[in-house]
Amino acid sequence: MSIPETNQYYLRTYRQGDEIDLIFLFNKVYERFAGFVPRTLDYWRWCIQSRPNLGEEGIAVVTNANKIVGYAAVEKAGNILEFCYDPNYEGKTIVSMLLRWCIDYVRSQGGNSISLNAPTQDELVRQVCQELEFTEDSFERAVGTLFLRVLDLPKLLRKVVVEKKKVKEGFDETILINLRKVPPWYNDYVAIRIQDGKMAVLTEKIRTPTIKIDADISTISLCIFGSTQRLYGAIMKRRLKVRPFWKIPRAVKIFSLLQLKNPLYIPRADYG
Amino acid sequence: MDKNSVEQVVMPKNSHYSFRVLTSEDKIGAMKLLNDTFNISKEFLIWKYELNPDFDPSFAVVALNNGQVVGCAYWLPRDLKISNSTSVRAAQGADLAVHVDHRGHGVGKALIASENQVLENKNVVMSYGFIETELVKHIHGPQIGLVAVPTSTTVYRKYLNCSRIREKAALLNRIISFDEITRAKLANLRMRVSFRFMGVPPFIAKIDPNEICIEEDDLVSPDLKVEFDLPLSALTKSKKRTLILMKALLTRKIRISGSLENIIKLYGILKHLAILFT
Repeated sequence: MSIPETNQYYLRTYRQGDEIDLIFLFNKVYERFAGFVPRTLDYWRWCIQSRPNLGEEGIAVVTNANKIVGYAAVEKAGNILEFCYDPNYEGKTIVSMLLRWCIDYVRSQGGNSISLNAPTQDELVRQVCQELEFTEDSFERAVGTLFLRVLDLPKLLRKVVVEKKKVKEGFDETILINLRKVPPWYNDYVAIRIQDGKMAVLTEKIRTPTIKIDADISTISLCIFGSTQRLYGAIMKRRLKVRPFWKIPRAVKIFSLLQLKNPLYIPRADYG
Repeated sequence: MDKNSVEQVVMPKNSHYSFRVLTSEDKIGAMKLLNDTFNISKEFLIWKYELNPDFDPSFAVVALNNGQVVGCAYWLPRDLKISNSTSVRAAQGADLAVHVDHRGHGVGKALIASENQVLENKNVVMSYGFIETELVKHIHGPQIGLVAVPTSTTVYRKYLNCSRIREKAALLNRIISFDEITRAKLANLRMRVSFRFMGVPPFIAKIDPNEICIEEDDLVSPDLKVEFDLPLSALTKSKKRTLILMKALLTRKIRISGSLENIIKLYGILKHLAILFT
């Protein structure tokens, strides 16, 4: 198969030893996203390298001055499992080279269609896809809806709290969240203490919280993974009750601190 | 009680089904069931589960009937990124299958409901999966706390040939052969319609009373020429289809050239042709 060349960008297939750079690039490019499995050597070797219907000849790499600046892993059937490019380089050139190579490769392998999952915000990929006459669809319509279920809320909150280190000084509160409709194996409460600009999740039941919140586990999960509108909606519909009621603005502030705001990007490799 | 058994809350006590965590003796039966249900190759299943460094057999449950595996549900342990620098231990719902002869007895619901027991004490913070919304309403009822989360992922697709549409045409022809209503709609209809969709090579639908034939070609003088600046999927949602078509017509995203009589005829059979575009 002919390998196209554009200026100082070169396209070649995978070579043994590339994986370290590919993994580094993937994790760097999608750093601000959530919803995928962070790439490790073990995971990548299993998920990409040893996957049936892929093979190392299905991995294209774009280099610039011997540095890997983009790559795509495509199955013979046409599913692009991983796709990323370094935005510090000429993204449009890299994306275009990779997608054109993928189309040629899938065609040569007898594939009938080609599909790519990309972050919705990525205008560059959208532009190149339009030029190459791809159509676009939402993930929900094309694949399905992402459903999740929190099994260990205190542990999740502890992880979130570690990430959200900064709380304004003087914003001291103790919050007790009473969970409604919990399964028998679930703790029916979780407490959060904000003191001296630090947030902590407590396992013991606070006797005199400054804010009491009543909600079911789905509502709390939606407040963490959803938007602020969902939080307001839950309060308006009384699915999330805050006592005393004048602490509602404070509760909203606390939930917005706990909210996970990273957009969710689901690469095909993680579910296909 | 067997240490591997999974206590069921959903199944009636007199049920003929028993449930347990996947054991080595269930593996072949479970693989066969997945293979039969989803037409997944054995090689792919071995890769997905047995070669997976994260796979843990205790994350899978099987339903047994007379010692035979008639249902299975697999979860895959994963580290899931939830923010810039944080990942949590999660279980991804992977494959769920129930043997065709045992569907409608609550086996699927029971397998899903076993998630609590399967994932308990496994240090798993959350479970997740990609599910069709309709399916969630149907089988995920027993699950408490399941929430839908919007993603920021777009799927781009390009068809390299019309083989998929040809396959759908073969299916439609089978329907025509036994469905009198569809056959009646197509009676006396003989048309050559040229279609151009975004992301699909141009194709001709040769519509005859007994058959619809797809050809990947540009006919010089078709009876109707239909050009869509829309993806194929725009025609699949039946509830919104008329609205989408009207809007597209007004905004010139659909351009039709041909006689009015042929346009009306095509609109009349569009409902039956929709299968081609799904």
